Amino acid sequence: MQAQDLNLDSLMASETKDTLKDQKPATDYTIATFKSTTISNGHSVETLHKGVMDFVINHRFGTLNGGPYEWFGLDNATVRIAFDYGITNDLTVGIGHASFDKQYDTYAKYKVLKQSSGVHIMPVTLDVLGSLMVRTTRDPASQTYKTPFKDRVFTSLQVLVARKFSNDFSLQFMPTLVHYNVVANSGLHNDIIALGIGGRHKITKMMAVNAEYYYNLPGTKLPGTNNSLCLGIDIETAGHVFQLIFTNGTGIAPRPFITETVGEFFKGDIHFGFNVHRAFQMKKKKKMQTS
Amino acid sequence: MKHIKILFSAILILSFATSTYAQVQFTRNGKISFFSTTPVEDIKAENNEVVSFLDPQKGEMRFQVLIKGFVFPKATMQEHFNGKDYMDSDQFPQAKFTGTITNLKDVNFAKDGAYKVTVKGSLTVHGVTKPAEASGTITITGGLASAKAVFKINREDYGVTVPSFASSKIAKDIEITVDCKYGKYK
Repeated sequence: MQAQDLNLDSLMASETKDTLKDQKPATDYTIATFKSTTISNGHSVETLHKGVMDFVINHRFGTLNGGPYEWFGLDNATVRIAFDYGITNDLTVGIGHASFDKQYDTYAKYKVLKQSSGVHIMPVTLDVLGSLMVRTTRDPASQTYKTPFKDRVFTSLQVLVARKFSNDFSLQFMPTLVHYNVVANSGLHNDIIALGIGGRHKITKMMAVNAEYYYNLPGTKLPGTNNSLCLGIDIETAGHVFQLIFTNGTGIAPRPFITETVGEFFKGDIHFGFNVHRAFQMKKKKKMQTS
Repeated sequence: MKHIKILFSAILILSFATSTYAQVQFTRNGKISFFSTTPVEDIKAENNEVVSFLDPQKGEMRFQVLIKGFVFPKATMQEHFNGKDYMDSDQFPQAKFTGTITNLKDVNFAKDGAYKVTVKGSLTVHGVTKPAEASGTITITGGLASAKAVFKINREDYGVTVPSFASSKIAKDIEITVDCKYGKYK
């Protein structure tokens, strides 16, 4: 017969009262602002985790207003195949080849700022993205002058600023500079500036709708081109993200889709297309040390 | 009078003798691990800082575990696990179990050996409390107990509904393994 009246609950309370105090106040970093590394055509602020490789297929068909003869564009297609790799959690690089203009492109995307709440507050995620593009289509046989390599090169620099407003809604701004080493005549600008805006809204746990628009500043815009608009649906499954898109944008890398889109969205020059992302974990993580 | 005094002392000594084995037992380093298996992925994590009490007299058990104390082989997994869409450990920092050994009379805390037990009580995870029951073994070595049990819970019963892209990688039924070695509580 013990004198004390054992109450395990009060004993437990006294033994654990300090454990929560030991918890350091934490910073909550926002994750999954977008479902994948692209919004539709253009990049999102998402970077791949370290050691992850993303195999990407971008498919763009012909325009819907091609009519039934062209199977509403499905008879024509351009494709881009790319491999993206996460060097660190904040640095993603990629390399791809597109059938449109037989263009090779490579890029590096670095996450400079991360949206967070808690101890350290940052309202947005900010990435810097640099791309290098090379058009490798052969000169026509009639051309006596051989286009030098450097004249086939384009570069672009983008700053991606995004904010995840809620679990369902994210918005991104992308001021963009596309540089042409060579332009057709002296009346055109070598540096084209565009302002992009994009966003996504979840509609179910698996699906989201997204939109992306790049506005070429009138001062540097290439004549005869239009701004590209892209509307899309994201579908997520284990390991894959499927993006179905409708866009007047031609091509996939910043040049040409930002600067050389000739179709007009509301006149039916709409290309149906899709992006498939398949992520592979290449490097196993080291075992975590107990805190 | 003398006989009563002897009888009283005898009863006192006897009650002390049996009560040593009835003293509350305790650990700060109990182990709880969980396991989820799906065709896509197996997920495992371990917590070695479980606080647990065992009262042999009433057969009562208490477990308390810090969610942030679960260690995963992949860092990103541990981040996700604690996140708002998963365990939300900032809002619900601990999981608790309160229960009683239903077949207490089958266990002799004074005698070394392994005793099969059923523990019934309530489990609180992610802020949700539900009745829970587990079968396990209490092994007595030198008067001290160690408890081992394996049981399954459905994480959705506790409101842990994970985002869509993860739901096929994280099973609904999670297998929980408890392994605690107790010492005397001073």
